[in-house]
Amino acid sequence: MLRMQGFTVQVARSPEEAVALYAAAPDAAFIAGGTDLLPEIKLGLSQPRTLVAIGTALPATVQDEGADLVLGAGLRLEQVAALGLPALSAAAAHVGSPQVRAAGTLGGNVMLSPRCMYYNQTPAWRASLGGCMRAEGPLCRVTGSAARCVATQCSDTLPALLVLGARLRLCSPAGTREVPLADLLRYDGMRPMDLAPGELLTHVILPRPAPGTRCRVDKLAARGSIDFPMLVTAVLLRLRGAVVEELRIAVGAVSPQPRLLPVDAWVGRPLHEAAVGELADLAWQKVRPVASVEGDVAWRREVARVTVRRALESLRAEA
Amino acid sequence: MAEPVVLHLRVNGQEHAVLAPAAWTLLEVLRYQLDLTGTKQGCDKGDCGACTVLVDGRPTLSCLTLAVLAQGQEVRTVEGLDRRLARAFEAAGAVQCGFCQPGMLMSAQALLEREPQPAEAQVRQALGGNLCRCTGYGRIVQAVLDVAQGVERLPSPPAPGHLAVGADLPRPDSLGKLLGEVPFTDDLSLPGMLHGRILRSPHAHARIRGIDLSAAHALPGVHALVTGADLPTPYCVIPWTPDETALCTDKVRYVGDGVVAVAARDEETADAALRLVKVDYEPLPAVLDLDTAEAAPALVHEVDWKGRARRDNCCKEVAMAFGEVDAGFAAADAVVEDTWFYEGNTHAPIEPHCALARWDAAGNLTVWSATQVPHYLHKTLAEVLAVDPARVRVVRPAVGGAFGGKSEPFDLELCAAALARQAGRPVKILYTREEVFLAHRGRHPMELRLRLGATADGRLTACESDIRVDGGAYHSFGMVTTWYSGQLLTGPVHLPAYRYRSRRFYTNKPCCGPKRGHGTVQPRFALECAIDELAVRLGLDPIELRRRNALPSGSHTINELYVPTVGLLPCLDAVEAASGWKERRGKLPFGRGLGVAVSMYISGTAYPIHPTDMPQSGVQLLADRSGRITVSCGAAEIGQGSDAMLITVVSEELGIDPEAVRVVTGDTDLTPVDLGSYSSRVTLMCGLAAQEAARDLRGRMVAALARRWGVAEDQVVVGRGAWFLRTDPGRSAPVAEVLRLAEGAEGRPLVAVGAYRTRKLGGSYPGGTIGASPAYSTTAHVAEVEVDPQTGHLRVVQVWAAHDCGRALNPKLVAGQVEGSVAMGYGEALIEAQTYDEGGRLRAPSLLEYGLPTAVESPPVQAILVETLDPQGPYGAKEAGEGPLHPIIPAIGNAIFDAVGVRLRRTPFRPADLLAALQGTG
Repeated sequence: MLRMQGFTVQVARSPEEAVALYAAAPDAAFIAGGTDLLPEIKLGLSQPRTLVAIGTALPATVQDEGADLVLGAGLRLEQVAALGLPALSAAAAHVGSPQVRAAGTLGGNVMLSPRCMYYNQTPAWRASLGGCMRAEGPLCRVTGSAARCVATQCSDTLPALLVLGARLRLCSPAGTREVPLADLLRYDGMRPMDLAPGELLTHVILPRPAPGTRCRVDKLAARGSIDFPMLVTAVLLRLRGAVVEELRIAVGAVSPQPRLLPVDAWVGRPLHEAAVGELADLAWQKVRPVASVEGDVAWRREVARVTVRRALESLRAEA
Repeated sequence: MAEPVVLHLRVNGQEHAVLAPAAWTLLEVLRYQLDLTGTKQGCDKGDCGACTVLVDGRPTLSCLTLAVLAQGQEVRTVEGLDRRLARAFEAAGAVQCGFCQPGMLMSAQALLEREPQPAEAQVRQALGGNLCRCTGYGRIVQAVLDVAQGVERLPSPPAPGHLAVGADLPRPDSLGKLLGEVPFTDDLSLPGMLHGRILRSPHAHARIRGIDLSAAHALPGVHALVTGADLPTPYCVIPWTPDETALCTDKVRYVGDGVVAVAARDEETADAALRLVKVDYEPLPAVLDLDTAEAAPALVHEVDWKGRARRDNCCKEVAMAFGEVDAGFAAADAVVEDTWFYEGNTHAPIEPHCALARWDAAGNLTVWSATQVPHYLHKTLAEVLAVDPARVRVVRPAVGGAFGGKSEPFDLELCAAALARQAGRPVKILYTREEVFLAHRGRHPMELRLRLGATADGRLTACESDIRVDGGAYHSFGMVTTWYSGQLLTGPVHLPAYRYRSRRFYTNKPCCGPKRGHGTVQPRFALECAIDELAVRLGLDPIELRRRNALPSGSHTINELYVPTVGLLPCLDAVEAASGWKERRGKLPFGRGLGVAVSMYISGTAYPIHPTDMPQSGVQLLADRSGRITVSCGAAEIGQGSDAMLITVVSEELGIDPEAVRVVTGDTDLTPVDLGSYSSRVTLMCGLAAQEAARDLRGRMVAALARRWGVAEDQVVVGRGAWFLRTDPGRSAPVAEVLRLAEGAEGRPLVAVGAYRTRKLGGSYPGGTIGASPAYSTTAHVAEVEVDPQTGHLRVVQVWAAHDCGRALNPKLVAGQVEGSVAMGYGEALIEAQTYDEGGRLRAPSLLEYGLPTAVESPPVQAILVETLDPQGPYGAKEAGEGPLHPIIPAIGNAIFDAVGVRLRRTPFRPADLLAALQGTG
């Protein structure tokens, strides 16, 4: 069995204590559900000396603050799945397996470590390869360049959060800040989110959608359970009559960075068949899957087109 | 190592204070500190669900839960579960190897506590994180629904005229496995036990110039280190091709080939020691594909086991011709010719290989191992460790799935024994999941050129194939694989003329070997797809085309294999009716389709691996004075149900209550030899051996009772539980009394033995014994698929699987074998692939990326048992564990064609390839 060693565990009772413990300890890592971190430790990808346990420190609440819904980052994914929230609950319901959803948290899925077939391997496997720039090696094994790591951000929930316009509330010894999620995401498998070291996600804030808003998420995976996605599409649509009042489309699990597609040009126009086709083609143009996880890249790109078209058609039909 | 911490855990309602390293998971503390070994470890890192426990009622992966953080919560394990679910699992026939089942029970329990009346889809979702490799999930899902709905399933009674045959007797070990009582190898520990690890090659091909163990030796906690030089004797399960050693001696031949083994106080220290070992390698050009292997710019083996220089990488070539092949093609009105490629894949049992070795003070070696072949392991241990075989004992604890992947000696067994000898203490080696993938011995990739001709009225005229087999670094069973890829294709669809050439090549990859359906799943895929193409070409119904070419019972195939019974026609009839083939085929909308395929498979081989004059299988019965009979047999119960089969036979012959029959198997000290669980030989061969022993005993018991009653022997009738007088059924004696009577009459312990002796079978030509079996099973499948033509997404909607098992000794277990075979073939058809990158590294050496099917997407399977009562088998029984795998792959392939009009000639049928094929055709 792969064994772990070399770390101690400190239990934080509040986010403030958690960030203080993190700051005080060398080589610390936060652990909540542990379903993403512990496999990385077992594979020697992360070698923390202190684990700061935040499972009980993180809020696991749902607060209605009028214009916003404030979700505690400590909500377990199965709880998020049961909230009945547009897009996000469906996305959470598809994460991993029931066991992963019972332990894994919303915060953990937002902060998911990007994945790569050259990285998420045992030390012996990586030693055979000579490592990659993210671990023990000089360059990215996918691109052959040292420019950046292109591990795939396989979070199920990020695309949903992007179309919902989520903001993240972050806690650090310097205080708290609140930033739109879209502004934090980076195209870098080694640093997929623009956070300061030791900064802790405490809340995910969802602006209340306008009445009539409809959402849909779709996940592409090899199996019906357990797997990380090879593609996630999320679509948010609000129509008045046939005219688009609000539209957001996000695509994830194809690169280090889940992204919103540039669809503003379609707002204010009727969502006729042709527009649906244009948007599907836009998805195909903008989605450039990186070959860092399983799944043929050309195929995933084509499926993105089909999924976006079908999502728009189904949302339009609901309206 | 970090300081241990004191943990206060509440487990199954009891408080425990344990000292454990802070980095230990809940799984490690449960298994190795609290002796709660019912919770299993399968995948290292949360990919299989075998370690599922309940934490505050939530299904939780104990391998991804720090024990420190489970304090203050209510932990429940299978040991704390009531028996309600377990009994339902047993009654539904949901248990095979049993390894995944404690975790499965915990997930089911969590569901039922949250949702007492779940729908089937909810059950499948709730079990979606628990992989099962044996069952295909249908019976597991059914068992959970049974509990929810309060359904009690009673076992079916014996078949008419029988006392036990045909009854759904529960397995003797099912409840024990479900509840975590029955030990698997890693559940065992011995005083002073050390833990071993094996250092593996980072190179696909390299010469070993030197090994420096000094730093590793100096590490505190290290007790033994061995290298290839310590175990230089080459071996192979097939005695004619001994081309591997326990650890590499001269060269490494794949990424993962074993080089050094260490034993230390714990796995962490063993790992640390291996990091200190310095191996000086001279990298060599690697041979990673068939074309390179054939061109042979480098040789994987420069010399063979006799020291003869090799000129190429072809390690076995078979070329045979039967009948008038050229004339057959000349007479054909239609000929299909194409190239198919069958990708390699692996067994992936949920239990990783594990071995524990101990030498006693007198110099006797005992090895406990998760093996299908205790007898061959016994033999190889003696040879490689240079110890008198009389001093070697092999014990096979419960085996958590095997499927051919544990059917030969592995480095861990030999290394554990060598390390234990050097250390003077017991040594256990448990493979990591990556090592299970590296050990492999799975399905060979095959490139298959096949040509098939038929006349306009649908009579096949000739078949020809040319096959290249990608063998990996060593032989394993590869010689047999090469033969089987040609020999076993000649039924149940009769080939009137047949020519084949099959060549197996060494490559610098983990060694391929026998996976369920050994040798013929790949060519069967090509042949059955070609038959389908011919049917389309000729405008014939594919079922009808197969009917017209059915091999009759009691006939010889073109390569002279005698086939006593062929259930092809009833199997085809059954799947045709069950699937609604006639009414629905051709009328389904675009994207939906039906496909059919058939197969035939051996029930053991007439040619044993080590030819001797001794029987292939022996059984001993020993009666005690309480009315119990102990059946001893070397047969390896690996989840297929061979222990239950032995009970059925003895109970059938003696009328004894099945619960009064105790089975001792898998211990070379205690049992007569049986060669092992491979080649689907156990039911036929051990069954006949048990039948012979039981009939001998019965005759003696009849004599004793007849004498006591003062009647002729033919007046004694064997009944269930009691024997009675034919003329006066009121006069009876319980079986226990008859046993005591016989022991008294004979004046010595009541023992009987029986055997299966190999008969000469097979063709008159050299190699003609290969593929010769006393009996052959037949299978027909219809698969229904749904293809999304815009994404290539493929869904298998339903599978109908009719299997001619000769006679179902235990219908529930037979159906379980059929369903499990379909499930495994389904994975091969859709998802699974054992492939390598340009450096020869396994692409997906984990249960996450490799992707065993889950309960969510696995298709429903209707198993239909067809009984042809083969004269060669016990009560007519033939094999059921391997044949039913073959047809599902071509059946799905043919259904895809029916659905969307494209032929996929490469497995697995990935949606990307399906979409590309669809777009290519327009």
